Amino acid sequence: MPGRPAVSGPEIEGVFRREYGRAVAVLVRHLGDIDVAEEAVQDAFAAAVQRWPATGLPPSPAGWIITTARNRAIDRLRREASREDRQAQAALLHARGEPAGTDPAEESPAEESAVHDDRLRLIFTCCHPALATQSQVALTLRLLGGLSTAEIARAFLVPEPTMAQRLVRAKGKIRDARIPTAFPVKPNCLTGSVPSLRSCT
Amino acid sequence: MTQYLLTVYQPDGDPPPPEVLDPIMAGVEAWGSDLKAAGSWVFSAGLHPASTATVVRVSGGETLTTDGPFTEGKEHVGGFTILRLPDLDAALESARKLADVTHLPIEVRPLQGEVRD
Repeated sequence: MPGRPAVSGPEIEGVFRREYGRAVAVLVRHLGDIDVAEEAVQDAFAAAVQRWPATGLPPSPAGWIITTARNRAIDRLRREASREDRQAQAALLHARGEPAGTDPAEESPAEESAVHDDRLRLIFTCCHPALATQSQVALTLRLLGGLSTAEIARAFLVPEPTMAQRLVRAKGKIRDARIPTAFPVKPNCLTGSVPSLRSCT
Repeated sequence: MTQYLLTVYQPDGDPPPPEVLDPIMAGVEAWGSDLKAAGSWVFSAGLHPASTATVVRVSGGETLTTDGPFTEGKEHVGGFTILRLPDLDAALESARKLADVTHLPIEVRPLQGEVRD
């Protein structure tokens, strides 16, 4: 795209800080798998770092990141489609996704409207009362704040491997025990979540 | 759907007198009936006291049998139920009802593997 000003590293970092959480939240809704969502969003940002300095910022950086991440996730799920449910997941993702060739920027209004609910939904998953309070906060900082494991470990004054293990265990419990990625419907779950929601904000 | 194991932990020793135990058992019965009616119930069992347990180990081809439960303590597994439910919130709600009826702590653990709806 000629005429676009070049993008600096700090600018891309700013996009990461602002948009990482919403991109992960949208992808978790599409995929129902936190690990795949995180990895896809990280891939998308890696692609942005390579591409944006030459092309300039896309009109909607968040839309670009989300669409790129979704395409990466589809590719990854296709590659790993040896398992039947993976295939179903990829099909689901495809059905919800935009047709190939859509300009990522054009879909940004749709993404925009879904964003707040998606992030709030993911916060409720991260702060589910079945997770220990420390895990709730750490997971929220990681998935919605985009903080690295090292940064979260420093904040909690624990060694990085300890924090890494805590995050892996929490994500594993969400997946295996099927902690829902939806709004709590029961009032007791809601109030149970609130204390750590407060400490996250 | 996921299957969940709900384990009841109860104190060792004699069971409470009938006037206490009977309403509890009636409550547990009603709890199970509701889950059966909803199609969520898979299996339930109550266990004899932990003092009737035997632990078997094999080491170097030798079999060692010890009298009593694997973990020493004042509380042991008293019974368990397997339920088939959509997510952890549903399992926790069932556990809450059972804990309310029995006045005992209930541990909820997901079983490995998905089950078809």
